[in-house]
Amino acid sequence: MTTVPTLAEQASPPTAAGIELRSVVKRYGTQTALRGLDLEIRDGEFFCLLGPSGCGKTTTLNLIGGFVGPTEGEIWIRGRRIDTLPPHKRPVNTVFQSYALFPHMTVFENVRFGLKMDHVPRDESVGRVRESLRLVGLEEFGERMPSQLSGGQQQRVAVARALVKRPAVLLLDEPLGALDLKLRQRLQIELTQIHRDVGTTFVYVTHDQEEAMSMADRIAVMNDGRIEHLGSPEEVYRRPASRFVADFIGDSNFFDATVTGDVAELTDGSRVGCAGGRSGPSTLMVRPEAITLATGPGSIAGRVLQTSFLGSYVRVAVETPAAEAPVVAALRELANVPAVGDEVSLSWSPGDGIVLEPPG
Amino acid sequence: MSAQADTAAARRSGRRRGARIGSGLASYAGFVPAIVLLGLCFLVPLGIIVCYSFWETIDYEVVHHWTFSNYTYFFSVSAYVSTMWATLWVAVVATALAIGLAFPFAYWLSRYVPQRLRVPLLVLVIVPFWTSYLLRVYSWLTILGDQGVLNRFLQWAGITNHPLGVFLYDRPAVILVLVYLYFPFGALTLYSSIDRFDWNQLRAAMDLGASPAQAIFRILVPQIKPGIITAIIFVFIPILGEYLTPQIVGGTGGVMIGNLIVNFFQEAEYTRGAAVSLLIAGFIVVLLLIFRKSLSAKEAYGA
Amino acid sequence: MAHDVEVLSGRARFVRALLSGYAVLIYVFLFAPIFLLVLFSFNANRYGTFPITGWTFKWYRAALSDYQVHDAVSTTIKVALQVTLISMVVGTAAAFPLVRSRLPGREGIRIILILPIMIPGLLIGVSLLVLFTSTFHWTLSPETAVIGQAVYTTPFVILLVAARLQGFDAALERAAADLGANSFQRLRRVVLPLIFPAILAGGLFAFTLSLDEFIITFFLIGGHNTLPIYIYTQIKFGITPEVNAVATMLLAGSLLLLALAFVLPQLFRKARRAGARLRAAS
Repeated sequence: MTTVPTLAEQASPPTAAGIELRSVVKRYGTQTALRGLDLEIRDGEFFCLLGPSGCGKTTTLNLIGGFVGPTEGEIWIRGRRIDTLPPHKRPVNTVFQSYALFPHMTVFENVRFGLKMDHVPRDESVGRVRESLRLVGLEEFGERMPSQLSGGQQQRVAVARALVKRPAVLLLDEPLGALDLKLRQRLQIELTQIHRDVGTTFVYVTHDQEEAMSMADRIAVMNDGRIEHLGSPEEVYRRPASRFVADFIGDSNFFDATVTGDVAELTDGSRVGCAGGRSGPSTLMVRPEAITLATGPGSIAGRVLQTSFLGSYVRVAVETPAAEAPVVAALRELANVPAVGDEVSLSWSPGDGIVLEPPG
Repeated sequence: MSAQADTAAARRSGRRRGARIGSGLASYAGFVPAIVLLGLCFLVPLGIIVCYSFWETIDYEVVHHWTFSNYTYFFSVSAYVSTMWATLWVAVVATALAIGLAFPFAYWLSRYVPQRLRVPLLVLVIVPFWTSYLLRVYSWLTILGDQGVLNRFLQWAGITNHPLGVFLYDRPAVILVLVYLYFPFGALTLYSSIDRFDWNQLRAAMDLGASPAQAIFRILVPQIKPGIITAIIFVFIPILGEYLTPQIVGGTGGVMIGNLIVNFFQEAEYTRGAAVSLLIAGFIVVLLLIFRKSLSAKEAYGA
Repeated sequence: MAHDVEVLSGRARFVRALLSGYAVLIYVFLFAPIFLLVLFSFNANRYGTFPITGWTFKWYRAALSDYQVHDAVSTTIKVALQVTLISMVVGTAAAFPLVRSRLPGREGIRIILILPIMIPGLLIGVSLLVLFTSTFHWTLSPETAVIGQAVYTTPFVILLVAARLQGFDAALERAAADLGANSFQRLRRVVLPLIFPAILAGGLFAFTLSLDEFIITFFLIGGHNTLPIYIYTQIKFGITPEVNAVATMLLAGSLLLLALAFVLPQLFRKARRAGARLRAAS
């Protein structure tokens, strides 16, 4: 691997970003998978690409990994342009969804493969393989064949195999997708620990919002070849940038509203407080846990359709003329739960009413 | 856990046994015609050939007198021995070429051809394999012969004014035709192994720093080894017993063991012919022994 | 999965183009000789080669009026029909215990049953020659050739029918037994109808193989000729357009049968389904 700067690098000074995508467009024939993506991923962060299938998240990962080439735009890693390099010359390694472990090699040989390709001397490579297997808790399993391991163990071998090369960036393509829920949750914790231990930039692709929320430093929510919102899990949840983001992450209630300043007028004529940000016809989004219910009439009137006890909270569905779909409230206090058929009024603090662009 | 699985399997097979047509000996009755046909007309004659190879022919009569003379005679004639080595050499080269040529083809077919076109294109390769073997050999005469397309072309182009005999009646022509005959088998076998390969592994290898060529030879090739060995066995064995190809395109320069066997039998030298036949059988057994270990490696992956 | 690995670099694209070109050459290599053979059978030039001096059917007329060709054709078909019958019956019968019995050493029997495909036909030919002439003192005839060919074709039928039986749902037979069918009725009404396409395909393969078989027949047929033997005796004297015409007809015959072997079982299944629908409707 050469580190001599090319002409292109000299022309464009290195940035501090770990990975930088500059107006990257990717078309497959007539279909556009990415519509001009600009993205900066910081060195050492755990970054999640989140979105439904077909949103372009895997394409983005493949562009960084080098398995597809951009139609337009540039990709830089640590100040070095890499979009013209083939996969085996990029300082990135990938954990594949299917793990892609080599079935004819032992676990040890699998992990050592990448070091062999780089002609790392035997003494050093053996030590690094051991260290890498220790990191994922599999130091005892070196002599096994991949087919003799459980799904979770295979997944960890795939991580060890990628990390042993000490890449600048580790790409993870839905690495937990094939595992059951319990194991997935355990490995989520393990992966965040490994990330903390090695300090490498992780780029993690998933369609599971809980997975993204629980692991990532920052999340890019993608839809239709664009990034809809980029921010910390809390920002993305509390102040989603679009109706799509709000809908995709967590539960949400939507109201058609006309906004003036920090007051929103709903379709039933009631006026409620909101966070503001834009004026005119808008969508007002309120999270279920932000809604409080009071008995008797109030500004937004409704009638209880259903109550469901869900362990730590009670979910109440309320029919109201202010919204097309029943409004859902999550009540933490189990004492004052209204009964089905009760007349209630809904309210929330103005900061919890997020104003978004209307659909269409 | 495995004990449990065993008893479960035993119970299952027990149930199946109950529902099988007939029971006990009656269920083996189906083997009887096959035993008569293949036993009496395949195994017994092979046994007779073994005996013959250790008997003698005296005045065109086979005498039941045990001797190695057929073998010592064969190895005492240098022309026979060199024909034997030449046959092995031709078989090795033709097998290597057929499989070597089939690999890039099978790779292309399963990697670059869209799914719906793969089977038709594969069938197209196998079709010649199912047409007359004699005709496939004969058809090369129309290309390589004195009046063949190649000579016609050279004369038309003014490169030569009389037919060149160089294309026919020698070992290269034999090898060319053998490769032609057995390429489809190599392609079919290799394709069916490559088609099961998970291409993500190639991506993983490149991701870990392997060049495309390294990825192919370190990841793909070791995993399709059982397929390669099957192809080797099924191409090499029939070539050892090849008669027609050297007879039609080989001339005097391309003689193989098969031609010797036919000559011996046509001259009623049955015992000598039997010894040479057994020599071929011996080579086949050696080949199978060499590859026995590699064939059972299939299970090592636990696939 | 293969196709999300996109060809990225110019070099990789070059490799793909190169391999595609290579594949085209392979197809040319495989079909050019056969194509030329067919082409020259229609060529008026009497050397059976270039140049093309005109298109004609006269070589076909000549071949078809040749009594030797007549003889060879009728022998070939007679032999092939007998071989087909023997291998269908013997092969189907053997496939059942091969798949279903828990015979100790079943793997060994399987290997012996398919060995005739593996070993060179030359060895089958000479060993049967010795058996028939030296041990039994028979006179060689088309019938001895039939036996020799059947040794070689029966394993193909066994393999085809066994594969079909392997995929056969054992529950169907259990259901039939549950409904009161005895073992003969189960075989006759349930199993045979369901595996018949495989038996039919096996028979057609056996017929094609017999049609084209050379080396075993060469040793065992004595003074008679099948088409391949006839062609062989003719080409000793060089290429002639008449032989090209006979060869083309043989080629067309095997390809037709091969196509039938693929298509007929499917047609058969379709016809049965249509028949069932008709019966259900009436």
